[in-house]
Amino acid sequence: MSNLKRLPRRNGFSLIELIVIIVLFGIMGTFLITLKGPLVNSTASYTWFQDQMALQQEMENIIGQYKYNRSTQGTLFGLPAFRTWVIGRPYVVSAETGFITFTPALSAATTTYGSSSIQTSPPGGAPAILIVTLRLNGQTLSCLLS
Amino acid sequence: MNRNDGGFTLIEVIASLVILGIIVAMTGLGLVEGIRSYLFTRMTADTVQQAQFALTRLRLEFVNMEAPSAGNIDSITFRSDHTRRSAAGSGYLNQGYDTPGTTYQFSRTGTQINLIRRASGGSAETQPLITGLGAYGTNPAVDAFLGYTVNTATSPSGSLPGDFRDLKLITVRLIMNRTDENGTLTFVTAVNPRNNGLANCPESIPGGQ
Repeated sequence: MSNLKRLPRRNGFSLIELIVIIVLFGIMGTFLITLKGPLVNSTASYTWFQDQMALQQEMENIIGQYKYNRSTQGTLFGLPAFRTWVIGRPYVVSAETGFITFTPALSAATTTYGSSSIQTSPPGGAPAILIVTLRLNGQTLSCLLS
Repeated sequence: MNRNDGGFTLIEVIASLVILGIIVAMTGLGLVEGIRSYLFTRMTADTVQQAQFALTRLRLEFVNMEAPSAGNIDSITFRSDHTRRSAAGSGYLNQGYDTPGTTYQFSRTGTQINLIRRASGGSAETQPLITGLGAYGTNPAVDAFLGYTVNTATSPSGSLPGDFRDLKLITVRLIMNRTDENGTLTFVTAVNPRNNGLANCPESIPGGQ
């Protein structure tokens, strides 16, 4: 027994050190799993598709109303009045719902338009083309009416 | 007893076991939750994909529909403009030749929706469009498969208007059963038929074909 007292201190970790490391790993692992849960538990595909359906549904409603107005020539028959009605609908981006002109003419091979050219009233001397833009949670749906 | 004999005391062993037990329990709970989350996400993605496929087909058919002859909350029968277009060739949506007078029907029966094609003078061909549907109700604005909104209305009713030109929207609702646990996922869309004789439809046939 007296020889044991002369043994040098052994290399390696003490029990306390091991426990501290294990506890730290446990805490970190728990955090990782806890954070990963909400990420994996995402319903992104469902909400994304629901948003897409909501945009399509509203656009179909607008198109249906547009066709009805054209056939009956009611109070919303004119495109300016129709634009006013459309802007009150859900998901409509008013800044991107207005009248546009194509440059150059429609007969040319290339036609371009930009959001900066969207006007609140029809341009004079050119066919009125109304662009309607709907947006919901980053998804955008547009339609041209003339 | 010598304190430096290299062994662990009982207290040290118990403390280690307790700590390890706690860690194992927490890790196990996290793993279970992770697996449940994965299964939930996979179920959601599968269900959305099925619904997307079915709704795309329904939208396509309703956009091009002509002359609906009957419609309620569970079924609608109509002709399609590809019947007319196929007069010079084969139909572009269905294999084979659509003879004039061919009708199509979407019908919800129990937990599935069928597409039924009836050639004029021929027998009916039935194809399932989607299965795994949940429980439906009878309110076309809330829980029915189909609803019909006329031009002057803002909410759907359960019956097809007598004049096709009065039809503004067909509301379609899919209520899908969740496969991992109880509950349903609902998908709703609406379609404006393009060929119902209103303005801006050069190929329209007022009142039907």
